[in-house]
This record gives sequence, structure tokens and C-alpha cells, in this order.
Amino acid sequence: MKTALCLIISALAMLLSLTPAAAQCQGRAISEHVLGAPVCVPTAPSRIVVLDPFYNLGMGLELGLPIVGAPLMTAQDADLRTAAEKASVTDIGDARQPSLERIVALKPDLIIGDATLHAQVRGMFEKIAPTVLIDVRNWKDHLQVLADMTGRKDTAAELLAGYEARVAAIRARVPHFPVSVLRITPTGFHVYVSGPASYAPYAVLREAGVQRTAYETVTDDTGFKRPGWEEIGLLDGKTLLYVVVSGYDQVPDDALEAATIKNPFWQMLPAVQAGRAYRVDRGTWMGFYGVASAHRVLDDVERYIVNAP
Amino acid sequence: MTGRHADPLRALGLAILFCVCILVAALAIGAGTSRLSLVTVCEAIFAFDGSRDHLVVTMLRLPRVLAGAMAGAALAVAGAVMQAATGNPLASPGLLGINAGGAFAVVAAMALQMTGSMGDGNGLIWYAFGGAAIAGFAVHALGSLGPGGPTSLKLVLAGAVVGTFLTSLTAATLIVDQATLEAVRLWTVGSLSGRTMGQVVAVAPYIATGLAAALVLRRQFTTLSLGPNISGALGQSALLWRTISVVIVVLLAGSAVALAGPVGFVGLVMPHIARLTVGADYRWIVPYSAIGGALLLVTADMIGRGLFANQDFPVGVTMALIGAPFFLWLARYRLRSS
Amino acid sequence: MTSHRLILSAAIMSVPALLLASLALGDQTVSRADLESLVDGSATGQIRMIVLDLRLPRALMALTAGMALGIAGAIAQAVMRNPLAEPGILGINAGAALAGGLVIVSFKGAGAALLPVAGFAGATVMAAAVFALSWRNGTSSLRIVLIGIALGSLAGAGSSFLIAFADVADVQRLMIWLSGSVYAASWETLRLLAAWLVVPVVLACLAVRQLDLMRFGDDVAASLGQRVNLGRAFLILLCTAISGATVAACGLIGFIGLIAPHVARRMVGAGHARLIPASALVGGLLLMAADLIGRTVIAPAQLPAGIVTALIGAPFLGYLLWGRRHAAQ
Repeated sequence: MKTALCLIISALAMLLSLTPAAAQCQGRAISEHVLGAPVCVPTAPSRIVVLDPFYNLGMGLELGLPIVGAPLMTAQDADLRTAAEKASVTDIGDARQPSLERIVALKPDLIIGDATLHAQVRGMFEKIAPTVLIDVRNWKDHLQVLADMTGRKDTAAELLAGYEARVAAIRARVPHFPVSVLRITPTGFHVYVSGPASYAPYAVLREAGVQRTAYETVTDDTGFKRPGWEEIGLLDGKTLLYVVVSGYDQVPDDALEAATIKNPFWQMLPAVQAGRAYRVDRGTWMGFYGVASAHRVLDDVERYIVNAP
Repeated sequence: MTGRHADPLRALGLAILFCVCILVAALAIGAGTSRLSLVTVCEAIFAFDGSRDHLVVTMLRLPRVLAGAMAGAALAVAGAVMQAATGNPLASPGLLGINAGGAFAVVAAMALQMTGSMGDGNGLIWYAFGGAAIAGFAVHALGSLGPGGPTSLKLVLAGAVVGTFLTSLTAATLIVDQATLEAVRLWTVGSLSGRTMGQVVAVAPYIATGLAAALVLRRQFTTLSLGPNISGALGQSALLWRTISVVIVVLLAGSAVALAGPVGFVGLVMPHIARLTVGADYRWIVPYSAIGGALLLVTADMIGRGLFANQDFPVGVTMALIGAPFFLWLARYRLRSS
Repeated sequence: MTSHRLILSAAIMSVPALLLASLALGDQTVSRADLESLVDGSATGQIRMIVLDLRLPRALMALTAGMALGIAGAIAQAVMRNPLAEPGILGINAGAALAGGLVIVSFKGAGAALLPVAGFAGATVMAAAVFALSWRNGTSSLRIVLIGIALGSLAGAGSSFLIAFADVADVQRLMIWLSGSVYAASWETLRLLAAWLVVPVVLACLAVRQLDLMRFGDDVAASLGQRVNLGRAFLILLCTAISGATVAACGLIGFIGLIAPHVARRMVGAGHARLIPASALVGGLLLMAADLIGRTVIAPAQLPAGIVTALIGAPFLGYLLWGRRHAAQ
């Protein structure tokens, strides 16, 4: 009897807590490419908190958005962090579980996050301010959505136009032989493939017209492959670009590279034998956060592929 | 199989097992992304000519198979010794937290930058030994509290508590220290990938010592397994033999963890299979466990590599998939309830 | 017993004290004046949001989940007849982890709502499997524990498989969920948890006599009129329902179920009529404290409560060992 009463009371309480139907949207209604669409955002947001230190922070700063808070603790790229600090962005902690209290204290009028990271806790953020969790795969789409939402369409168009022009120019000059790109980690090799769901730097590589080997090209949604020493023979591109990432700290990278290069399997790679194996900067190839990153990738393409001997 | 007339039979069985083990090892060396024939494998080992296939054999596959065989033998014999010393059919390095202890010590050492990468076999081994020893003592102490001494239930529960605790600590360390996570992600569930000849050679002396000691002292382990009352009456000093057992177990389990990470079930399953096959005489259980353990782990690794050709399937997961059902069967049908 | 009574009163008084501390302490400073302004209605929207919408439900969630885990732990230790048992032994945590992992990896955005359901379902299925497989003309504590470990290892192997091969972002979300946290506590989830827990907790309180009888061993209990196997099954079901609900709400939080009954036993003795409420009390205090520490010690980063409880597990185990070193052999 008591139990039944309790259950009834709880059910009532739950019913009572239902929010009334949403009022008419006073700002912009975003209905595409976001979780839980439609979301109503202010027309001219003046205090934005971003929930991840990757696309949202990087592209946000490039578009000149008024960002007041971001999870700088987990920002891996030192340049990005310096830029954020110069723009007086407050650190809200870890990207996976940012400090809600700090976000409240910043009094944002818009919160922007990423669908993969923050879907589970969207409800918490929505209590503080309208929350948009962007859900697109392609980096250019992400930039567009961000720009549309905050009224920066022109800036985005300008940035992208500059990028597209450069890509077209490079595409005309790129030589037609396969190139291999490889990431060396302490647990083995990671090969980020060229396909519809490629990670951004590799998508840029593809757009620039650089051809990859058969092993490195896919038509499905694979993001990356993990070859062992036996399989890296399949990376037989004429030129090889490799990134060395031993962990967050960059210090052990050189030791890892030295140990890898000594290996006879490495030395049997055609690119290595021809002397066309180049180490590239990990910041450019493993940390993509905006149009500037795309330009850095194109710089490497020009340096090592187009203009190489 | 009882009686002295059965001894030649058991010796024959051991010899056959040994040959099967060598054969499977050779097959395992041949298996992989590119299938190599047995002939090529033998040539690579005995008539090395520097070609690509031979390099694959000597640099990649041989160390991996050797590591698997050594770790398997070490874990199985450690389990057999533990079962003799505690008189408990459930004693094994994985169940009683020893593997978890070794693994945590290694992860902690790497996180605190006290040792280099995984490749530094020599440095890791001492941490693995230390962690294994401390965990073992803690479990034994915890399981001996209360009336009745270290019964099966109490030891297993103590092992579960200490093991869970150490695994949580390991997970916590890896969440906070992403760099170490990158280096050991697969190793923490037990993996033979990327083992080099250098690591195998570094660990080999310790495993060899442990195995040799266990083999030499087999008779005494039989006496020890009869229980403290009988062995005491037969003149065996309980304290001395407990200590010797602990040293051997730590040597073997710690080395196996340093080489392959915390692989479970080998130490539990193999001695039981041996016991089912050749009876309760440790003169036979120890060698059968050693070779059987090597065979089991090498086979498990081969299956993992065969099923998932381009990905590295951790041998610990395959062992759990094989060992857990066996353990289930054991728990359900062969144990007397207490 | 006076000192025990003193300790018990201190524990009971600690609850509102800790609650107040949880409201006052945190990343943003909330002064005494701010708290007073809440009471007389003059607080700013920011203070109201921080204290009433973030800290209060979070502290209450920790209290509720901690109480539930304390009760589940006391039941587990009674059923296994061993002070080292905890609900995780029944494979509950491993089953919930695997189910949760599967959901996180298979469903991208929609997974958020499914996660609690999956966790609860996984826990229940696992506990049922453990019980079913350990049934062989009745059950025994040892068999239940062993089968729990075996099935737990299988589930663990499955989770390891997911962690090794899934997308990095998914693995990160999985690890966060696995470490157990009350970060996302809200009034809605709190109400749901409370509603779920009402029935099992009431039943647990009513079953104290059964729990006391279990302590005497199967034979004695049977001779005293208890239907041993049925009783064990029922109590395991209760323990699963309570822990499963907690896992659904907060992810995996370990060690509370192990530690709370021990401390409670020191305070009020082993009779379950007192032990169950005392265990709940201690569990609630422990988890509230763990969460408070977790969100203040490395602010603005959050240390999940599950990790804090894992960290206090060791010194506690050590203390246990030390305190019982003279226990009768």
C-alpha cells in the first residue's frame, strides 16, 4: 500500500515536471546538422562557450566569434591554446566533463559542442543556455554550420574561397604517383585512409589531388587501419610522409623515430630506399582545428610532393 | 593412470606432447599475413639468408611465438605450484590477483616515468616481480583472516577484491595519463604483439630458473600438495616450502606479466587438465603443465591472428574466451561445495 | 556501547553537514551570504542555478546512490556469508559494462537515453545467468562466486574487445561511463532513481530476518524454517535490482558496497535490522564525500567519483587488514 502510494506520488511528480510546450523562437531556429533539432539560438550571440578544443574552438576563433569559455586543459595544440588565452578565453576544464559551474559563471548566451562527445549530457547544458551540438562529418560543413548559426557567413565564405583557390592551384601541379602517409605510435602504425569519412588533414590531401596507394584508399566509412610490420610493405608509395606521435609529450618522439628507422622492414620500403621519406610535423597532421590547419597541410603538400626533387 | 607401470606411458605422452608443441609452434610461425611454409620457417631459423620472408620469421614471428610459449609455460607451472602450496584447486596467478599486481606495477612505473617504453624488458621485469609479490601477499593475508584460515571461498574473494582494486587503479592511472594509455592499451588485457627478440632474451633467464626449480623440486611439491598435516608428518617444513613456492610463483608469474601482460586462465586451466590426464603426482603435473601451457598460449595467439588478420587480437581476450567456459564447467561440475 | 552510540549520532549528523558542505564548496565560490540569500529569496539567477540546479541534485544523487550501494553491499555480504563480497562479484558490473559498451559503440547520438536501460538490462541478465548456471541441486556461495568470476571474465573479454577495436571517441565516452560519475545528475534522473529504488529498498528492510538467518549457514537456517535456496535467489534479485538501478543512473561505482557494511558493522553490530540502515548511511556519506573531493580537487577538471572510491579502497583494505590482524583463526 505504502509502495503503491509512493509510486503514484513519484509518477505525479514526474508528470508535473514536464516543461510546457516551447514558445516561439525569438532568434534563429537551427534545424539541420544539429542534435535535437530544431534549436533556438540568439540572433547575435555575444558570449559563447564551446565544449571542445578542436573544431569549435579553432574555427570559432578564425570566424572571430566572441568565445568566453573553452576546455583548454585538454587542448593539445600549443598555438591554439596561446591564441585562446590571448582572446581571453576562460578554461572550463576537461572536454569530456567540463565544469558546469564555471560555464554558469561565464553567463553564456550560446553553448556549442560536438555531437559525439556531448550527446549524453546535453540536458545539463541546455539548462544553462541554448545548446547546439553540431553533427557533421566533413570539416568544411562544420565551418559552414558554425558560420550560419552565428551570422558569420561572409567570413566563412572568404576563408573557404581562399582555401579552394589554393587547392585548385595545387591540384593542377600535383604529380601523378602514389604517396603514402603513416603515423608511428608506440603500439604500432596507424594509417589514416583516404575515403568518404577521412580525418580532415587526409581529406584535404585528397582534395589536393594527391593519390594514395591501394591499401590506403577505401570506399566505406573506415577511418584508419592498423598495419603491422609485415603489412607496411603495402605502403609502397613513391614518397612517404610519416608522423611520429609517442604520446602527449613530444620528447620521446625522436627516440621512437630512431628505433623505427633502424628496422630492416622500414628500410625495405621503396620510398625509404629512394630517399623520399620525410618526417612531417605532428601538429599539422594530427591536430586539425580550422582553415589555418588546412593551409598547413597544403604547405606540406607543396614542400614534399609538388616541389620535391 | 596409476602405478609404476604407467610411468613409461606418461613419459611417452610427454614426448608426444612436446613434439606436438614444436609442430604447432612451427605452424604458428608460418601463420600470419603472408602464409609461410614449414620449409621456409626451418630455413629461416637454420639457414638464414636475409631475405624478406626470413626476416619476417626471425624478427616478427619467432619472438612472438617464443614469448607465447615461455609465458604459457611459466603461467601454467606457477598455477600448478600455487595449487600445491595452498592445497586449493582454484589457486592461480590470475584469480589470486598476482597478475593484476604485476600489471599495475608496470603501468605505474611507466606512468611515473621510472622506466622507458615497453621495449625495455629488463627494467619492467623488476617492477612486475615487485607488484606480483605484493599482490600475492596481500591476497593471502586478506584471505586468511577470520576463522578457518585461507579457504577456497575466502581466497577467491580476497583475490577478486585485490584484483578489482588493482585493475581499477590501473584504469584510473590510464584515464589520467593518456600517454601511458597509448603505449599499453592492448597490453593491459594480455597481448603478445610487437614482442622483440631482445625482450624475450631479457626475460628468458628468469623463466628458465623458475621452471628449472619447479622441475627439480617436483617430488617435494607432491608431498606439499598432500596438505600441511601429512607433509609436516613427513618432515617437510611448511614455512620453508611455502617460501620456496612463493619465490618460484613470483619469478614465473612476474616474468610472464612483463612479457605478455596479465593473461588469465592459463594458470588455472592447464594444471587441471594435467591433473585429469596424469593424476595427482606432481612429478608429471609440472612438466605436462609446462608444455601444455606453452601449447595453449601459442595456439590461442594463432587463432587470434588467424581470425583477425590485419588487427592485432590480444591473446588475453582469446584466452578468456577459451578459459572462461572451461572454468565455468569446472566450477559447476567438479568442485565440491563448501 | 556508548561510544558506538556516539559514533552513530555523529554519522547521522554528518549527513546534513556534508550536504551543506557540498552546496557551499566547489569550483565557484558560494559564500555564506549567498546561501542565506537563497533562503530569503533574494539570490541571483546564477547562484540559484549553481546551488539548486547543479550542486543540490548532484549531492542528493550521490547520497541516494551511496545509500543504495551500501544496502546492496550488506545484502551481498550476507548472501555470500563473507565480509569480502560485494555486488560486483555477481558479475553485475561486468554485465552492465558490456551492455553499456555495446550501446555506446553501436548508437551514436541516440545512445544517450538508452545507456541507463542497457546498463540495468546487462546487470540483470548477468545476475540471472550467474544464478542459473550455479544452480545444481541448489546453490552454494562458492559456486556463485566462481561462476560470477567466470562470466565476469567473459563479459570483461567482450568489453576489452570493444575497447581495443572501437573508435577512439567511443572508447573515451565508454571509459568515462565505466569510471562512474554523478556529473550528469539532475532532478529528473534523481526522481527516476528514487522511484526505482523504493520497492527494492522496502523489501530489503522487510527481509532483515532472512538476512540474519543466512549468517548461520545453510543447515542451521533450513532447520530454523528458512527455504534456503529460494531465500538466496530472492536476496540476489534484490541486490541486483538495487545495484542495477545505481549503475543505470551513475555508471559503475565500486567499493562502496564493500566498505560501507564493514564500517556499519563496527558501529551497530551485525544484526541486520540495524545494519541495513547503518550501511545505507555510511554508503551515502562515503559517496557524497567522494564526489565532493572529485569535483574540487583538480577543478575545473572533474575526477569521476568511481575513481575516488577506487583510490580510497586501498588504504581502507589496509586498515581492515590491520584491524583484524588479531581476529580468531
